[in-house]
Amino acid sequence: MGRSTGILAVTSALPEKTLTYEELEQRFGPETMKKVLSGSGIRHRRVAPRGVCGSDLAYDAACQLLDDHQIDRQTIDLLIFCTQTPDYFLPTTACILHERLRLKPECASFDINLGCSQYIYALSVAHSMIYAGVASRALVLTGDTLSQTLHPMDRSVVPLLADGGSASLVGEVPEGQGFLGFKLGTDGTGHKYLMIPAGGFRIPISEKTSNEITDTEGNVRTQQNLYMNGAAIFHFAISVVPTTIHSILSELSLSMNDVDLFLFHQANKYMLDYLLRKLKILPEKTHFFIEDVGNSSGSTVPIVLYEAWRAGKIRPGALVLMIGFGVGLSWAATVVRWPDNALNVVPNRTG
Amino acid sequence: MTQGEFISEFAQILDVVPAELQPETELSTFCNWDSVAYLAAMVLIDEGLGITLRPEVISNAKTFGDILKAVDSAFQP
Repeated sequence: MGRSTGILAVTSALPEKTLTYEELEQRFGPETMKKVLSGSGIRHRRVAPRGVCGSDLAYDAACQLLDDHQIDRQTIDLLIFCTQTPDYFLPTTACILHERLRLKPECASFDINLGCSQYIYALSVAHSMIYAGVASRALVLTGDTLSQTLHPMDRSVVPLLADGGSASLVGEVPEGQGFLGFKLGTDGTGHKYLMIPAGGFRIPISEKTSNEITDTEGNVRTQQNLYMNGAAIFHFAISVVPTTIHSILSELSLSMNDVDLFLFHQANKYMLDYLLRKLKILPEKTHFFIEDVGNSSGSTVPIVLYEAWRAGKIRPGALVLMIGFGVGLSWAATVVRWPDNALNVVPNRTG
Repeated sequence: MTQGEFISEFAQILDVVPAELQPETELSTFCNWDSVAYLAAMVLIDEGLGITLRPEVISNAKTFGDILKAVDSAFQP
């Protein structure tokens, strides 16, 4: 009981296909795309073809992680798959991944579906289960194909959202290293600001739900497509993110200066630039990975973590604060002291 | 930030000259008053005036006067 845990390795898997700025210029016009680029910082976005699921991206990332670091699959006794685009309503996709990854029967497997905050929620669960002695070594996977939920003529979301996956190994670390704390939160009053209204049990699929609606800005969607109120999400982010960061640091008796690297959910660069100004964080104390890959929802945090690690910005002993925020509305932050026993970073194959 | 500076910065968001922004000016007359402008306005008001306005206050504003009324407290002595 009471083991310190941390992230020992992480990698990402991105689809090879890119939906380019130029293609979207053809679709939405040059003026719209100029505004999108200045308003979001996203130029190109990686999208998976039909038939490729978030679990496939997670599987690719997991295989990379296990093979590149020569990790014995039989030592994994916890698999958490984070997704909001599961293979099926049931069974839970983590069980399918359990089969594909040939993990042992004694490995607990389940999904967490919480979008932009899901990775950190999953880390908190993995940490808690290992800390309590219920597990000892966890694979935390993420994978989403949100691009497949969008109406192709909805310019409020098509230029922004992308697909991606990741795999992280979570296990025991030296005392005082790894996860120092977590801060989780919810504002359910905002659930309607980012949702796919139809397709669940509240509003089943029908002829009506497939009717196209054009909003006041000319965006087209059906109730079966993802809808996002960008202004409401923006307002939420600029309110909740600073408060949560100050709160978790205060609880850990740390200051902003103690943190070596701040990693944010890569939602929108304009928003992130503003958050850096608001929090007075120097650009060299963060990392961006959004311009050419887009916003892959619940995978952006582990993906930017991997990219920062690959860029040499994270070494043993470094204090890293990660924060995810979005759909739900939901948010999660963690502060991690990068452990001495973290595995060496390996370049991924799909970067 | 003074009210004059605020009006000037707001005008830049809409790509117009400050003189075009009068209290009775209808925002819908500006082609750049859209969801991207709402975000820029939110940042201007949050960063420049220290007020975090709910997004519907901005998106439901009919005139520039509605915006000025919403941020009026920032200019009180």
